[in-house]
Amino acid sequence: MVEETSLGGPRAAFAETLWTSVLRAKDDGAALGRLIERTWKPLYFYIRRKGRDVEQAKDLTQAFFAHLMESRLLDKVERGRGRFRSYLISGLEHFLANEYRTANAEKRGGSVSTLGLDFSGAEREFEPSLAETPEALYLRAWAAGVLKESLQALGAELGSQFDAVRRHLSAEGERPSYRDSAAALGMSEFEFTNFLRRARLRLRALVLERVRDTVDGDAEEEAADLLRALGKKS
Amino acid sequence: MTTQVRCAGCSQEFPYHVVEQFGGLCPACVAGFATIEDPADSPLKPGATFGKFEIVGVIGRGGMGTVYRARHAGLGREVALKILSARLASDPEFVRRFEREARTLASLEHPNIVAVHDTGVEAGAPYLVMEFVEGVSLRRLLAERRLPPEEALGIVPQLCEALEYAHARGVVHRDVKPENILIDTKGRTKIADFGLAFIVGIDAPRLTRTDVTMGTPHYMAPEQVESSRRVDHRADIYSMGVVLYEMLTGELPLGRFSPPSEKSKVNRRLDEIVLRALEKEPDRRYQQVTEFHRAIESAPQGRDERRVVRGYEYKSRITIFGWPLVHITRGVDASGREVAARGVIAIGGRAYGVLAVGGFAMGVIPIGGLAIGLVAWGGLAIGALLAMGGGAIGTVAWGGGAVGYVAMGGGAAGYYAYGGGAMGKYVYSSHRRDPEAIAFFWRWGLVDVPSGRRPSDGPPDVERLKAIARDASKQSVVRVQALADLYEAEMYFGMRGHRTRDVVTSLLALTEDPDVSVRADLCRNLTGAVPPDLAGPLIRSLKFDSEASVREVAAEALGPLREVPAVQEALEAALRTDSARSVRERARKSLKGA
Repeated sequence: MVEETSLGGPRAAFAETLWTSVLRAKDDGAALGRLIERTWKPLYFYIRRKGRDVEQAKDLTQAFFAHLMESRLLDKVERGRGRFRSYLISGLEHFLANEYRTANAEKRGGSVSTLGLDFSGAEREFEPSLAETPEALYLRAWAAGVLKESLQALGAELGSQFDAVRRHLSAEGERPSYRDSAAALGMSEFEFTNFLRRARLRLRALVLERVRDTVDGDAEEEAADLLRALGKKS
Repeated sequence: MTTQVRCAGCSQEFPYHVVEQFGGLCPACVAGFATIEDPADSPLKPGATFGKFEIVGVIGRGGMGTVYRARHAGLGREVALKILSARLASDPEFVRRFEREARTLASLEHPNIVAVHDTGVEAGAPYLVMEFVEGVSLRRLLAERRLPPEEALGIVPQLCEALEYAHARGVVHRDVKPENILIDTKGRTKIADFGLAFIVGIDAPRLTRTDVTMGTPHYMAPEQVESSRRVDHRADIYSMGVVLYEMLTGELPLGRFSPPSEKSKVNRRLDEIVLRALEKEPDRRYQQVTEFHRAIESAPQGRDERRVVRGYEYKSRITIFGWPLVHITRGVDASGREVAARGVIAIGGRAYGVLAVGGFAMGVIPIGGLAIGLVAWGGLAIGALLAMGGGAIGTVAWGGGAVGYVAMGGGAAGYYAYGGGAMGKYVYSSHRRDPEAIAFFWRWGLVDVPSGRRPSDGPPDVERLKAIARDASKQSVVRVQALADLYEAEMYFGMRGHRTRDVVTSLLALTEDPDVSVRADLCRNLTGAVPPDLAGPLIRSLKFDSEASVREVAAEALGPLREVPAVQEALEAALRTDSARSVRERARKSLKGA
């Protein structure tokens, strides 16, 4: 049922945008699969941060998607409803608040266990800090998903030249000077900085492309919110 | 406890797996990397380079992006560089349109269209290289001052020409507004951003809500706001109507708006033109720019001018300070009233102009039944400087009846007056010729010049001649000549008024002159010029002069006065008692009137 999505692969994962996906998911199983693939991890983190243990969170996540399908919640999704990210979390909040559903989560979640979500991998990434609210964590996870995909898409576009960009963004080790990077690519320093600038603009465009149809309104603002969530802490 | 990684770039710490997830990159740095500002959002500084161009300065910023004054690095040519928002480039639909339309835009070559030299994408941002126009936008102009209607009506035909040209090539501007209308330093109007609205998609309502900040929709045709699909060239006609309305009234035609003539002093005939361009329904508008153009061209320029409907009218296209060079009218307007001619050269029943010719003419040089102006000529002429006519009133007036500082004519009244019946301070008339008037009118060649004298000699100096005639130290021949000149002055300048009397009185003093030839000449020449009450000196000469020749001419000079009792008595005495026969003979002739 779940299509092999290439999260981490070179394919432009957001070629079909999220809202489109949502609207199609109403009656397209494959589309629903992609929707789940793109949203489950932030939702899982949110549930975990809300204090549920690993098992509960797993079940609730799966049960929420089952609920999405059964309750035809997606049918009510229309364009013009703001950000899909917020729409989804309010749906989840609603779901969690319902004691009955929560109690029966295990049973219900069982029906979608075939989703094969990598909960153990996600659990390794789960790094809650007391200072971070569930909402902030959800936002950060969502943002990381968008940015990671955009970065991969940029990598695919730039090919071998992407390496030079990577070195200037690496977390570990010293970063090379512009001059060295330029020389490695056979460019002048000026050409290299221009190249970096183009790469930045392209990355920004790729992020916007991914954000554009998850909002009905200012995509710029949503992109800025996401990037801010990941950005430097002052 | 997971391992923390401290980023070498931003010094922030992250769990190892987070960094790993990002392929060893710092998420914060990647986020920062992606938050570069769009060049369209953040203006480039002067000196910065963009592709082949060096930025000179910012010309303007708008919803679509920023326009720079830039210099082509290789060619040195100045251009206007419009850098569109990089956001647009992420929209594949935009990129398709941009590529498709750019070629069309570059093919538009017209003196009233800002030329597009080149288009492309640099550093993710689409851009257009356009002709750099030295001047101001109509928006700036409108912000600075209210345009006089003539100026507004001078701009519109140029817009029409540009749109006619583009429409003929299937290009609709879609965004005609004061911001896009430039007026260069030579006063030429140019439209910028042709078809750009379509490429960028700001006339598509969906996009206006999402990613393109759109300017005011007030210049857009109603059908354009509704759905961009229905838009054709008539949308530009509507926009032009809005621009014209704003130029004329300073306001936008919003809601239930008043016709321009109610808002400002523009011709009522313009109302129907503006209102027709502003019809909500495209079918009710002018269908082609050409029609609108023609209507504007034939619209009266001035404030509430009226046009001849019955009769004849000619108005030249050439204007000077908003006035037609030539305006000729003959006839009445729709309301049946006579239409005045107004032009540099105006000819009509009523004419106003530099040179005005008409029944009633007013202007610098009016000619007409009633002419009022600087130099007026007519039945009744009133001229600040010069008036000529049957009746003339002016600083200098010349006519049948003339009143002025200088008045000349049959009946002239003035400080200086000249004419048959002239009245004034200094008069030159058949009755009276004042030396001041003679001196004044002499230079105009209006004084009869005695034979043997040239006008340039000037009028004779009577006082000097009198002084010479009286000066006993002078030779008698000189004094006789002076007397001759005085007589001449009398004869030619008609010194018969009060001045003449004065001259005669002073001449009569010369009857005592020791020189016999002076005395004789004097008596001879005073014949007929002496009024009765001044006959005394002549009588004295007749009675007592020692010289018979003098007594003889005195007897002759008294002839015309023989009716005066004293003269008659003196003549009879001479006839009876004078020792000289010639004197007695002369006295007898004078008494007989021979």
